[in-house]
Amino acid sequence: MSVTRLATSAGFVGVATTPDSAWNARITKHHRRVVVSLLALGLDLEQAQELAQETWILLIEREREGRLERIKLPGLALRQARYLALEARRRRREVLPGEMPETPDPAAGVDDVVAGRRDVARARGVLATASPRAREVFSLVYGPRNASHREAAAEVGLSLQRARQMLCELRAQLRQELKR
Amino acid sequence: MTQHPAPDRFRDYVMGSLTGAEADTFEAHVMACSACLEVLQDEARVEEQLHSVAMAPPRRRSRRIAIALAALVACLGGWYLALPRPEPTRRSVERLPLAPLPVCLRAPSRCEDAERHGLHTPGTPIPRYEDAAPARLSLAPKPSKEKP
Repeated sequence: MSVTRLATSAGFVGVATTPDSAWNARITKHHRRVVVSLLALGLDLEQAQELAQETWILLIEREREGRLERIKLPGLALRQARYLALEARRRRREVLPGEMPETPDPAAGVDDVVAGRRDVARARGVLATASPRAREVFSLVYGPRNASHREAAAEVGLSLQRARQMLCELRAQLRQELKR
Repeated sequence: MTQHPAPDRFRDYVMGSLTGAEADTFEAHVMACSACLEVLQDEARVEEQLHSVAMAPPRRRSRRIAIALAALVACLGGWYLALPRPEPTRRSVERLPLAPLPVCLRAPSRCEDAERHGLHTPGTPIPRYEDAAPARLSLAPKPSKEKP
């Protein structure tokens, strides 16, 4: 996903004429995360992708207008996408009063998505049994750094394949624990 | 409709491990398959939970340490209070210096304030000051009254 592609799909000419490499890098890095967070709220894939695109266009627009002082990603994009999902649902309710739309309520899904304190404690128990390298890879990929698998592998000193394998094994254990 | 993707594909998609072409094929199928969409949404929830686990603030060790210290202080305080203590003795009271007795230095017969000073109660003989506190009046040794 690039700024040019986004701008073309949304008819946003300003961005199309001035492609921004910084925004390209940001979108490449965080677009999947935004889509996945919307999927987790119960939106279907098409809606999630549309809203994610809309999110980026809005952020680029605001940044060009000087309305964004700090761009902290992916948090900013995630919040914006969630807000757009709520707005979309509200609009649908207004258009079809009395009829329940097919889209689930994104706000209702937030509690299911965010791990509770007990979940966190159980997951930490699983993490404690993992190898230090696996823990490091996990915290690099899922923590505040939000590193890609390649970046995490390079930082820990593992091959990409090995880092992914460790991550998948740990993820499977955590998934099992969180699903209890 | 194409064949359902392998279970690992859902995980790989949310983790961003698929190539562009693989992701396009996967998305095309999921957009047309509600069963696979549910699996994908479930996998996406797990992915978000993992992010929230990794982003959760670390455990507050300082709070635990404070609780342990408070418990220790309470135990020590209880132990100190339960220690046996010596009974307060009367010796200290007995050793207090005695206040000088009020003595009328005038001749008792002439003392108009004898009653006021508590040296005389009506109906009792007036004490003579020499008898009341002879030692206090003079530190000099008494001349011995030896009969020649």
